[in-house]
Amino acid sequence: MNIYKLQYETKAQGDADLLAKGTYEVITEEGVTQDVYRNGTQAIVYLGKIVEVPATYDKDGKELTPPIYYDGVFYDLMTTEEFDFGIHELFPVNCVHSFLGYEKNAEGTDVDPDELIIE
Amino acid sequence: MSLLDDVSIVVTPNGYKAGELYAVIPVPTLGSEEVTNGDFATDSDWIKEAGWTISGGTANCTSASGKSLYQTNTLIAGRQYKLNFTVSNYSTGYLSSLGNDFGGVMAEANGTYEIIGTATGTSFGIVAQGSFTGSIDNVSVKEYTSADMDVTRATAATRVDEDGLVNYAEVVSDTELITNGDFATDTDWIKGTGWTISGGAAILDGTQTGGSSLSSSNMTVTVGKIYKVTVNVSATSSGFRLYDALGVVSYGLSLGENIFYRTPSSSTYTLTPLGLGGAAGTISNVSVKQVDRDNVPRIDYTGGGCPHILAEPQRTNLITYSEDFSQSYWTKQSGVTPTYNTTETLSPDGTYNATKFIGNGSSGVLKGGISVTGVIARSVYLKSITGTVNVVLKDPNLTVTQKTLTLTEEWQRFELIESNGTSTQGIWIDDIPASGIYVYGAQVEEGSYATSYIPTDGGTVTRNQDQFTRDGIGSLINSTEGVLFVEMAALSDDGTFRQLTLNDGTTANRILVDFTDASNQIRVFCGSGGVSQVSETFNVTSSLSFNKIAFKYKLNDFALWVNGVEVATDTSGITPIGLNKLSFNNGSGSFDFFGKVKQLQVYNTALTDTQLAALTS
Repeated sequence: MNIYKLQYETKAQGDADLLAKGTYEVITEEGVTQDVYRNGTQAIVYLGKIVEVPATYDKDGKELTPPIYYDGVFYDLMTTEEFDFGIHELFPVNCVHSFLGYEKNAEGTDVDPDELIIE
Repeated sequence: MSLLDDVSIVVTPNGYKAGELYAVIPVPTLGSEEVTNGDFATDSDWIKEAGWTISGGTANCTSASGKSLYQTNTLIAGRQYKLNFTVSNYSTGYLSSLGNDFGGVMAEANGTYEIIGTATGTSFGIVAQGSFTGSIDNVSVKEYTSADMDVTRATAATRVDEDGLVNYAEVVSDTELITNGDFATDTDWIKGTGWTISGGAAILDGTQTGGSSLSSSNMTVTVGKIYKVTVNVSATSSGFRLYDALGVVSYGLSLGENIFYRTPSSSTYTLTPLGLGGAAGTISNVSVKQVDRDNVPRIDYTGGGCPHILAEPQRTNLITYSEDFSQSYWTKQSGVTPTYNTTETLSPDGTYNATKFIGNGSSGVLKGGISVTGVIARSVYLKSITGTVNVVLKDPNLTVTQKTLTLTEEWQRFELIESNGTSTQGIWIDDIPASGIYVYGAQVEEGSYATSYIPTDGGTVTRNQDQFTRDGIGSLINSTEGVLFVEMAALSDDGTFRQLTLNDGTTANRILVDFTDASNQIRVFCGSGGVSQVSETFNVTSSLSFNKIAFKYKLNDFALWVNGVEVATDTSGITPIGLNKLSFNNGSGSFDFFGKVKQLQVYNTALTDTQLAALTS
């Protein structure tokens, strides 16, 4: 199984790239439009923004300082197929997301998310 | 006549293995041999493309790519076959199957192979790829009749077991990896001071002044796989620890059976019980076995009684420490005193990992600031320490609903499902009373209903969707008449289509039963050649309860039966063509069935009204 950890500038850019690579298909049936996994895709997980510096809260849970996020948005892709995602592929060492039963850093080697330069 | 005389497929929550849910009917059977001269006794019967020769009792190939060795008019498209063959004298390349019936890469080494696949055409062939050089022999192809369902999820998943415990659906290997774990002989273990082996146990006599270990011999394991480690402890004065190649497994083994799950980071694995100075006791029945959790179908006992097959959508637990409330990730408000991993009560997973919170009636524990919009399902297991108490479940970022929960001395999973209307949400267990509560397994997931518990420990975690399919069963489905019967319940009345079909691999030809986007509505549908023939709906009292639904199909004779009553008929319509697949989706991979199934049956005849009434009652 292949697990890709991906970073894009926007969700629209990420969705378009994953669609172009055939990882999913947009189907409209019975008036319902859905994303259907194709070509070996087991899961696409849109992680959105990832927190670099967590927010702080008071004792009642009210936010004192907001979180600071890494640039861009992030996805995890689990698939039986191999793809070349180019600069969008990351190799984080301390992943914020994993798949149940897999090691937390199931993919990862040495690139921190903020080290990636988005085109 | 018994219904069993006509039933061709019966699927129930029964036997399974990783990737497969066994059908009760039919019992898997093999047909007659479809290949002629599979032992290559003569240079005949096979069509040989460039690079292939037959001699010396084998088919031989030298440096060929995309070249086939095949026989025509051998298979029936849409049916399952079992292929056996042997590869010898291998040096390069690999073998694939003609039409990809048995996979893209069937063999790339010497060995004996057995592959079950579905024919896409009538020819059977083996294709040399990548400059394949080697020989093949003993080729056998027989029709394989089985309705065992392929199960795909590719991740682990939890369910409620027959004892009411929340645990992983898993298959434990029969292969024991530890040598002499039953201490049948005084061998294989390295004994420290005070250890002896006799009578089927390892005994520590307490004479050691410091820690004394008992080390197993090396085991070979697969990195990244999960292993179940079992150690039985008896007659101990306490002070027993367990270490393995990863480090500390337990600082305090309990009396009785101790079970741990470990994921080795090296292919060499060892297990080392250790007694502290003066500790005395007995270790026995040590076991290390591989566990498979990916793709294991879930036989779920939620609610008690008979189990059901559980099929859920992909979901992510956005809580990153679902059990470890000691993390600063969780805000423990002033007035709340936690006790982590309390041994006062077993948690819903059967271990001592719940957290006790003693409160003051006006504060609690919370996690806010989770970046998520829309409707989310917050869930958590709670119980009182004594009697019946109330707590409040709400969102910490913007409280819309304060849900007052009544906790008893039994674990219950409570839910709060709503959007707070902002882009950050969370979960807040508030107003914890002075008498205290136990907490376990917090979950926040996007969606309009909570799904099975997804444990997390330091990050968000995704459980993939469950997919059930069985193709290649054209011989078990009568396209011209029959009955599709299912006893099913929805996970939620959530306004989505959730479909079960007999189909031809497309949506053109299918017999369908589904929950529709209308509240508590079921539907049956027949499509033939891409044209809708029959579509009948019926509103059940509750789609969340199990309903017995049968769809009879026959030329100009269609009927929907629900819970013993014929609720709809249609006397006009033709039947599908070429049904050969059973799918928990619409036939082409969308509108997945997410729900619970107690039984699913396929009949090869259009049953009588009496039979249908009996079947659905």
